[in-house]
Amino acid sequence: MGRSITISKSILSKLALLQACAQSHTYCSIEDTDTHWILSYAGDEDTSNLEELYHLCLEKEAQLVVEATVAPLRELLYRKAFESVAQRE
Amino acid sequence: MKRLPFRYGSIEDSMVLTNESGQYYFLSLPHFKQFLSDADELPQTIKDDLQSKFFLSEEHSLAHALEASSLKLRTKKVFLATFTELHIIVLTYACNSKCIYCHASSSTDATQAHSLSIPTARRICEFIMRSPAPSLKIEFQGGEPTLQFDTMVFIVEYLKTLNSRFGKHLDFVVCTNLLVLPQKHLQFYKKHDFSISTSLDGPKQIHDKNRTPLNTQSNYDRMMEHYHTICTAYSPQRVSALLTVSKHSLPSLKACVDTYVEEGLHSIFIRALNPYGVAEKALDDLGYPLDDFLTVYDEVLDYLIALNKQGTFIREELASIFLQKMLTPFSSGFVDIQSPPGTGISCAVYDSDGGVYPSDEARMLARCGDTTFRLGSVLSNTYEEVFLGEKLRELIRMNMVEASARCCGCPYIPYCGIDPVRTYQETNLHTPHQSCKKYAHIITRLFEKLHTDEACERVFFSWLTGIPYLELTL
Repeated sequence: MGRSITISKSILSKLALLQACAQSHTYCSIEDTDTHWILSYAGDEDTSNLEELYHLCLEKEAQLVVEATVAPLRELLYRKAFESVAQRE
Repeated sequence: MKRLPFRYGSIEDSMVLTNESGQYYFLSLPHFKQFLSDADELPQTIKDDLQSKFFLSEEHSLAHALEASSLKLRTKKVFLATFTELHIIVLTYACNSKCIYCHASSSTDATQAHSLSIPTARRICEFIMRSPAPSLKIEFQGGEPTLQFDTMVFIVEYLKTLNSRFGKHLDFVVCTNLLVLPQKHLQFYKKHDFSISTSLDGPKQIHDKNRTPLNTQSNYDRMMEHYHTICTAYSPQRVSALLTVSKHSLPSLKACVDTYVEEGLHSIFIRALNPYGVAEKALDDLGYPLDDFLTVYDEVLDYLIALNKQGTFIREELASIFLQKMLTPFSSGFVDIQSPPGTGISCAVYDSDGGVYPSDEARMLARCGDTTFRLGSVLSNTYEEVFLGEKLRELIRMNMVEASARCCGCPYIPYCGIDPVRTYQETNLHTPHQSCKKYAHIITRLFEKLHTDEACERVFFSWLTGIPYLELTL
């Protein structure tokens, strides 16, 4: 793992990338090309953090794929739980 | 079969599924893969379990499963229905002790006492009674609130007079160091059914080092004498203690537990040092890395579990907050760890100058000059301006774990919460996400124990029910 990682947009969505960055302690620059994300360090930090961010990105993408299968039901669940209360108020 | 909404994470060599109502289920990795790819192929016993916990549903009973899950979710969030129940009143910043970590920045100098006046106290009472909650808990804080005992008496009596029109249930709590306990105080607590919250930082040597006496008499001796007076003349069930861990006590945390057991206390709240007030200014001398705290916390949790298994009932309160959400249909009522956050909507703090804050920590910041979270004043704002204003709405909106980019996907969402004031302070101190790390660590430990140790599960249920381990049958 070097000072930068290039990840295809076909395997990593912008949402997963943003979620991973929000959760990670890694600070890096992100270059947005037509087909790839390029995550790179500007300084001399330990590159293991970049590797950790990479794995977190993949984990978040997997979570999003799984979440997509239940998201409509989750929305329905919250509506059933609270919509009647909101309407009442 | 249809999968219902869930999140997942790894626990040791297995996966844990959680859902919105806080139910959980452990799956081996092969079964987890099967759950994701084709749940129909799972063994029948696992499918039955997953259905009973609302992770799976037959297509034809999906509507029923969603209805039942929504009821469970609403039960978990029932604290939203009642609005602000906990009202904290700061009677004074004067104190008769000089604790080395004082989060409230109390003062032993009478000119810096900033005590609450009766006209302001009257206005605070009228504000509190506007809360729609049918049950109110009024907590007196300081400084040392008993130094303004007459004001406390006025507030209790005035609230009861006002309440003759409202018919609410009133509970009173005093947070006191128990250095003074005249007969008239004790009689007053008994008459109004007070709960008494105090601090015990461990053995005498540690307690007196953390909570420095102003004279030659030991704070520990005075506090314990009054603690035992309350136990015999009032009720041991009405007094509880909080343990604040400083750098001095961290290596001796097991000895602190032993002190609690020896003194007959049945619960211990292991609280890491919070970065407010004097503690913030002295972090270099009193603080410690979070990892060090968590290492010791794990050891002490194991020690407490072992004590319970041997027949000594003693509950760890921080773990119990999470366990309440993991093992029961209910939330814990602990406002610092809930979503939407408890700030303002579950807890309000009235400072001695009439200022209103959404949490105790918010007024601690204000005492140090940072009034970011001040919602208004009982002297110059209406109840609606304070509690329905955009400032509080935004604070709540921006701090829900369900909608946070950092939290979404986390399997611990049903058990966790964001304290906006703590998040703000951690950012100020360039130590972000410390609370997240702490809570995730503790919840993971609890899940590991639930997954691997049935006897431990029984200890946890004994903590939640108050029934000693050896007497509990599941």
